[in-house]
Amino acid sequence: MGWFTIRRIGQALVTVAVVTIVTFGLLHLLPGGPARAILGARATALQIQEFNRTNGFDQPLPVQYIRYISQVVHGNLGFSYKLNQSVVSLLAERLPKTLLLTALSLLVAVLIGVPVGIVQAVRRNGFADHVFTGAAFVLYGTPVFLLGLVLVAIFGVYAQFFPAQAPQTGNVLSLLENWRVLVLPVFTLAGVTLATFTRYSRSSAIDVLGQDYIRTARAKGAPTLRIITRHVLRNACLPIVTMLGLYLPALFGGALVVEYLYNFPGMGLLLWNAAQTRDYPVLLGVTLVVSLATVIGSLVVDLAYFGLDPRIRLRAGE
Amino acid sequence: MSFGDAEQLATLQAPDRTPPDNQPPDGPTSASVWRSSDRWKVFLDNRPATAAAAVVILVTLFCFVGPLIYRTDQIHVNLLAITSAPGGHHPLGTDDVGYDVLGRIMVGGQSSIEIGLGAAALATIIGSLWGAVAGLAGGIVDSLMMRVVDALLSIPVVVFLLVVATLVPPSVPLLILVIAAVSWLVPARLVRAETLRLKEQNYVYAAYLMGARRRHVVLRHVLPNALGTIVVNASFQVADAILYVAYLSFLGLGIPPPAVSWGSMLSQGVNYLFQGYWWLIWPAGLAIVVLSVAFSVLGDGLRDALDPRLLRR
Repeated sequence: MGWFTIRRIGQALVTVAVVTIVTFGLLHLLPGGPARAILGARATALQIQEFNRTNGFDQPLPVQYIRYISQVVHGNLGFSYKLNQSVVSLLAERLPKTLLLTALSLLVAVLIGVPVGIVQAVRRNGFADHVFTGAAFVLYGTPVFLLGLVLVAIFGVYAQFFPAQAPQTGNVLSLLENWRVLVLPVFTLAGVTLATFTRYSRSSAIDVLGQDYIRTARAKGAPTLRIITRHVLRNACLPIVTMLGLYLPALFGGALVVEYLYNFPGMGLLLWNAAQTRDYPVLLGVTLVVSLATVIGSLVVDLAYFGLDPRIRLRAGE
Repeated sequence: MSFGDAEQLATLQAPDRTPPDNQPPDGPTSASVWRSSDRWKVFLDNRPATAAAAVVILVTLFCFVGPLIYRTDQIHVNLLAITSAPGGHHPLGTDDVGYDVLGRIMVGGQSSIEIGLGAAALATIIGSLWGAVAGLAGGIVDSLMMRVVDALLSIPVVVFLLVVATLVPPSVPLLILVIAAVSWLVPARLVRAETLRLKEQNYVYAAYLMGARRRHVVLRHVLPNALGTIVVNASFQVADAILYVAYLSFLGLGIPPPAVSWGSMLSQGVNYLFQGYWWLIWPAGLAIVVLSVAFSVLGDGLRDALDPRLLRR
């Protein structure tokens, strides 16, 4: 366990370093650099010079990079001059809502995707298998916003079961109390991963069904349902854990679109608004945080996987 | 990421998924018995895949040849004929400034297809080279190159595209570049894994023994043998690129007017969802789904035909 964990954390640290270089680089790719980004298009050359001097932007890039890192480490992600608020305080408001949205949607995707995949594997090449495979392809090819529009059109406009807009105030708890507003955003976002989860649990369940222990269980006379719940489900879930790590970025990207569509006041909407107003400190700060969250998320997923599957532990211990 | 990427990537990440007895024998045995005629046969026998190939060709013809036959004015607005319902002169109605929707779908599709193919081709070339070099180099160079890939993979694509689109005004060539810049990562990983397998092959050792340089080995031995993986992934890449363009346009950061894309048609149409102007939303949406599904199914069929490891399934 020790060696694997250390190596994996080391990898994550290197990844974090590269991510910061990218966000730092983007800040300097801005036309006119950070000064122009913050002071706006009408700033004079003198103002820009003065701004660069006071904020240290006239120093060599490596020095600036180290300053940037030390700022980030101290929890300073920049200041939004447009919203007159620090990026961290904006995030503190928005991040929990996005996390709630993504976590619930993952739960929905797993609860639907895994059983469907297992059914497909058991009835392989049967009618149900073909239908679900086709559905998965269509769902995969459907952009999140289109899926959202379909759901809004059906449940928001024609049937009016669920509201098509999220409440703009309140915190996470008030969102939970008012659960109806969450239904459409959560199911829309679940669409991002659902198709892949089905596909994936199907193929891993097919692998599991071919294993000797399944044959042994059958030979012992275990009923099919028991074999599926006891053996197939547990073993087929393992690779899904890996998928969670791989799909975190896609999930955050999807959250952006979903939040935009439902006007859901989370981090994605913050980012979209920042893009509209060219609020670069917010844009880059949020990008950094989202990427770090992804790195940490996939680290946790990998370590959890390691803990869950004794076969890997044995191999790493060799 | 697409199905293909997910399945291929996860196999790399969880090596224990396929137990040893399920694994095909490495080496020339599995690959060389595959003649290209067999591959064609497998592909043509796969009805969904051939249908998908037909759909891709038809949609391409529809978008590029269609406007020559079905002529519409996509430049001048016509405020006397806005949001008219389908029928008569306009089979799919007109939009909120009077453009004919059917003609607009043709024109909008052109940019989607150009960007999709361009970005996929560029991403595949960059990614394959990066992966092959990293895999062959090994050691610290390999680790560093792959950490770069990991880091970029952890930046959500939509977020990155959004940031870049605010920095530089988008155009077709720029979108090709930017989407390629986020899409080369998956082929890089796949080709690296393939290279790690291939570089242990006897013919690679033989090439080195005969004095071949590394560049020769990459271009003549590793990449051609990884071609199956690369082509399959490229098809999924096109599907993804089409979706990315749609996302960007939908978020209002696509190619600016007067250019048009399916995503921007949708994002305009959304405003009329509650008025019941369905022809402003669903035709463009359907076009996106049809084309990206076609490329996914095509990729799936190509994988069945090109990847000998999947033969047993």
